[in-house]
Amino acid sequence: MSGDTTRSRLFRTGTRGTSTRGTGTWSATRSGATRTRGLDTTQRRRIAQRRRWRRARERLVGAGRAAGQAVTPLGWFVIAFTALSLVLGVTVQWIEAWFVAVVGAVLLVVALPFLIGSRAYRVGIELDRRSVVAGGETEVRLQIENRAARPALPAVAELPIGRALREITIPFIGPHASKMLVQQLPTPHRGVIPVGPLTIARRDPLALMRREVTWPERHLLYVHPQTAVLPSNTAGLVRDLEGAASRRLTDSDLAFHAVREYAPGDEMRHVHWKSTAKTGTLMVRQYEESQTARVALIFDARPEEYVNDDEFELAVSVAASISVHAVREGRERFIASAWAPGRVRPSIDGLEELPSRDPQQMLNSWSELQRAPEGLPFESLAMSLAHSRPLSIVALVTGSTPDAARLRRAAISFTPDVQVLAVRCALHAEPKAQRIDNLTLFTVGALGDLPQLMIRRGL
Amino acid sequence: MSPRARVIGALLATAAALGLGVLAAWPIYRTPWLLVVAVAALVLSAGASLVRERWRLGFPVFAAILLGLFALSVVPVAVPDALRSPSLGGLGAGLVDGLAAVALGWKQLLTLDLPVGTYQTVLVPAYVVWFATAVLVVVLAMRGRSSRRSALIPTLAAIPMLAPVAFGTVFGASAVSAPLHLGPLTIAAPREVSIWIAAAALAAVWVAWTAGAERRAALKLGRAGDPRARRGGAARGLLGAAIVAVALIAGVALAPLLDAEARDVPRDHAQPEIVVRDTPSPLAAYRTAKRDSGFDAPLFTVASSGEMPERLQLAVLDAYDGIDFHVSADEASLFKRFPAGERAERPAEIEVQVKDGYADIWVPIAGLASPPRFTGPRAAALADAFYLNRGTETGIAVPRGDEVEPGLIAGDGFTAQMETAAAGDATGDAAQSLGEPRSNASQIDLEQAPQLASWLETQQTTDFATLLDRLRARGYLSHSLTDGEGERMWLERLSEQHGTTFETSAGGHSLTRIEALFEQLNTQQSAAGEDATEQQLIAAIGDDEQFAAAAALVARALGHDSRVVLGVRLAGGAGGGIAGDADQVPGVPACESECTGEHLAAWVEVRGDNGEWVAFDVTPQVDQAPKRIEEGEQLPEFSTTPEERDAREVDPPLGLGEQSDGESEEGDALVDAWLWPILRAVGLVTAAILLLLLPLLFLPVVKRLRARRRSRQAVPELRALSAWEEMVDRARDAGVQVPERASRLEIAEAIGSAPAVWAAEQVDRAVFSERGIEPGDADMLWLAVQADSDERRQTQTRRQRLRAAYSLRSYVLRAGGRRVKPSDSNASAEFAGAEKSEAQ
Repeated sequence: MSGDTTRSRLFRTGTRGTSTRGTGTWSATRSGATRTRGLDTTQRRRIAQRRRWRRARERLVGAGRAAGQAVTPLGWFVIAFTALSLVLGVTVQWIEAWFVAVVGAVLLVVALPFLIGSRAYRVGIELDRRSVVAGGETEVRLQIENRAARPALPAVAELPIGRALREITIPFIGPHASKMLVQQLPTPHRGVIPVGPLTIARRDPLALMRREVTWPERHLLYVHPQTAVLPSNTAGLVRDLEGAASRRLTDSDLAFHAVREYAPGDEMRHVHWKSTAKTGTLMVRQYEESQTARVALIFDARPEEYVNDDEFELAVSVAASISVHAVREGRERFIASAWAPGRVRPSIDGLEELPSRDPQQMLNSWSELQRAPEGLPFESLAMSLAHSRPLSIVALVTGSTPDAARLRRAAISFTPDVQVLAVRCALHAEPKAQRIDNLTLFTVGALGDLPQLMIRRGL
Repeated sequence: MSPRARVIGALLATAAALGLGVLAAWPIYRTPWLLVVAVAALVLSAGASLVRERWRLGFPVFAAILLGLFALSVVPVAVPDALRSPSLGGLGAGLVDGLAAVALGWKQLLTLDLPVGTYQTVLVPAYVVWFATAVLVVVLAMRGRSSRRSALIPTLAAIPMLAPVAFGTVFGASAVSAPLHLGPLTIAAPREVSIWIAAAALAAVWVAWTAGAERRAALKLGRAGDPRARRGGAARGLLGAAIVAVALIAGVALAPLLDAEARDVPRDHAQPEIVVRDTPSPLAAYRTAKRDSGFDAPLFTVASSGEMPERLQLAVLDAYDGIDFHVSADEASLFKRFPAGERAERPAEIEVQVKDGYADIWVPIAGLASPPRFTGPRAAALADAFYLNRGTETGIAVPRGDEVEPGLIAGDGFTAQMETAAAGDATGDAAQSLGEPRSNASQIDLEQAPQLASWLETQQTTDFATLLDRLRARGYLSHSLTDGEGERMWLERLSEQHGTTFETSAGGHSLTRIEALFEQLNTQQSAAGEDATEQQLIAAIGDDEQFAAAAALVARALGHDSRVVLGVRLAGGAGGGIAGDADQVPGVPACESECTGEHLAAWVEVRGDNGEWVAFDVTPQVDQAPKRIEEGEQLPEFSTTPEERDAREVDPPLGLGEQSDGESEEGDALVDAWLWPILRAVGLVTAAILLLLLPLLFLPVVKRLRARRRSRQAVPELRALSAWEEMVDRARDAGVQVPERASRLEIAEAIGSAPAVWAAEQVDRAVFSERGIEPGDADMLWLAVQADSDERRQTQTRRQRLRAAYSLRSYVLRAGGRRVKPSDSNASAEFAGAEKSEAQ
């Protein structure tokens, strides 16, 4: 509105200068150049009229949209049936149609006054914590302030918490006073709970119409999986001493290994000029690769590998424990699962990395993780992982359905110097550890078993 | 809401909708078999829908299953009569009929008289509607689980839920149920209104239940998380109930005020495919039965299992237009199918066999208690073609298949339950059961019938029974104009029994003929004087035809409703009726079992304020011949009544002068007659040519008008500017590329003619100089415009000139040219323009 008025004022002062010269038609027909600058009164009036019409139309459309949103499906049904009955009553004079039309019209008319009135609330939604561990509880605090000079009568607000819709009775609040309403929020399950926006709806008793006022404040509450603290430096995460040279040769590292002949594609800075001078052919340096603990974790998110939901949650907890431990110890890590959040086209190799910059982010991403019914089985995930990057340790977390043979098959994808830790999560199973070549197979019955197994095997 | 809950809800809603449908359709069918139809529709369609859901069938398979189920079930469910005769042929015919009724049954249902029961295939439309309703509701309810967008699809099931009730209303009668009085409240049409309200409530509950499912589930979850469940819903519920109550009371109070009581349902518009009005009045043909050829010809035979009805009606004629009595359009439209009769008081099985003497559409019946079962070779065709008017208790048979003889012919026959108790038997007295006239005013225009009016005046009574008795007593029966060959058999028969002598009487019952009848009576009465005996007053000669018409007119003059009935009286009838037994009508005897032309009679039915039609015999007496009493002047022996009923009265020719005037007018008319069509044709052709030319002429005319407007500018400067614009526009039309936003001189160079260059200079001077331009110079500019275009035209071919005339460039470029970027287009256009001008 204000923008419009200032614009029109500017416009008017702009035209005032030219309007002193001659008549309108004169300046318009005089030459093409003056046509754009000079506007005569009729044109100006026409423009003003057009603008007024546009504004009225916008307002009308807005009102229409608001009215359309205010009518519930039941209200639409009553409106349609009433209109149809009215038409029938007028045209074919069916008395029952008249009756229904009268009843519908009365219902609609009576429903309208219920929508009148507004709430001058200022609403603040505060979450006790941004994240909680599953099984815990937190609080949502609503700070509601009545900004009007009049007291506000009690009202019922609706606060969406996750999939639930909580009805909150806002008590009587005096003018310019504020009240704090506390809602307990139990968090039994891992997940992300959106809280808000708060809505106060006015509706008639028959729910034909419904006018909503919404305060658009929204929050996300992360419910983290339960995790176990793994013993430091056990966890098998540091198999090698950090920094020691390995037997693997590479083209670019610290530890010098040998000189070989140049091959196309080698970098010029690695050319060993002395040897080149000696031999007469281009020679380049070759290095031994330094050891780094590169940890990868594959979480199997396919629901068919799990017996039930609890087992899935156990696996998430196990995977979260291992990955958070890796993050805390600052390993180079790659945490992935087959779960592609909301992507139209998942990555080609089926591996979707979970963000793992810090433990909080890692746990948040574990909170978001869901089942991936269309994901690839872990064998192919392991295969693509093996071909994608150099690794030293791979952890594979899955449910109780895959047997040891399948896990071994997955482990074979990796080179023998890669240590593979497979964790089968079978709820309430006897914890045990097996070692087959480079594969260590844990069977975990509860989250507490994991640190025990880690220590026992001394990985 | 789980799918299971939704399916159960849908089944319950469908059952409720079908239940309401049964209630709504009950007045149409009035048979408990409706419940079978509804249950079958529910079970079969819901079962098919569930099977589809269970095995995820595609649409074609599902449609095939539905069609198969329908075809299999249509005979046992909707054509139950076909099962009565469990023969394979009957079942096959039933199946074909039932399937055909899917398309055709609607009309049949509308043309049948209510209630229709399980007659033939009338249940098929209801079955179709209910079956489709159940299928749609269940299928829609099970839809739309996946996405949010389709979450509203189950809500749409509310629409088919309304269909069964709509079916009942659309195909129902226009009469509504009697008002219900509840203390101070009067509910009009309580049955229909409550069914509609119930249907609306059902659909509304369904909409609320399905559309609010998601929200309810979320609220339930929210309450589970919050132990302090919110209370206070009860108050809201009470308020809602109060609002609904207020709305219902408003409906009860307002709906009758808004209703104009002109309820319109399709049934009222459905005409049986017959037009009774097309058939000639059977009363006018009355005397043919009394000729020698028809007098002894057997019309039909009547046999009864018990008593005979008093009389059999053929036709009831209720409208009189001054020429004859016929069936009015209103009554003719009331001939409907007759699937089931009402209970008769004293029913008897009457068998009628049509004989040689009868060939007409009218079926001889008395108060039918059951549909007639036709016999004979055309039984089926006649059964399909039998229509009954319940108001007049007359039936017609119009078999379509038989083009030769529409109606009953020799060999046809039927048996039917008929009422044998005489109407109004309880009251005994005709006058009493008749009651007072329905209106005090005469129903006919008595000024048109002065003789009837004066006769009524002299009788000094307004009691119809008395008047009719006098009319009959003072009449004398005569069936013919002469007693010559071919029309004397009636006379011989009557003179044997009653000594009847011949009096001549003309046929017909036009107003003129009836007036003549009353004139005879009036003349006789005035001649006989005050103290004349009853015998001296006998004067009116005629038979049932004239006397029925006369009696009907008398009744109407008194304010009664009346109608003329053609039929036969039966000898074995209940007797003792109001109209008296057979002995009271010696002129036209009652028939024993074989009715011949001799027995064909006419009588009147009169209705007073009692609302019942009472039959009165009208046949005049045959015993005492009229005696002529002369009062000064001899009455003419033969009446001047024209024999032809339809003969027009022509005024005698007028004077010669007027005649010649008439001729000249006729001549004018003749000129008009040939001139007018020619003028019309010429006008139309001209208009057509103009219309065709309009698109062709439009552009040149508009351009000419534009030039004219420009050259008539008052201010010289403006005129000069307009001249320039006109010149540029003409150049554009001719195809010259005029550069955009160039100076006038540049444009003139683009145009490339000397007048253009000169004009550019002049116009520049006119616009920019302080002195402006002289009017003479402005006119010179216009000459320059003309010179420029003439110059161009000389170089153009005819085709180019034509193209320039119809070119839109001067308009299009003007409108769209602003959008062109000045810098680019300038250069290119200028270049192109220069090239063009060079080329020219």
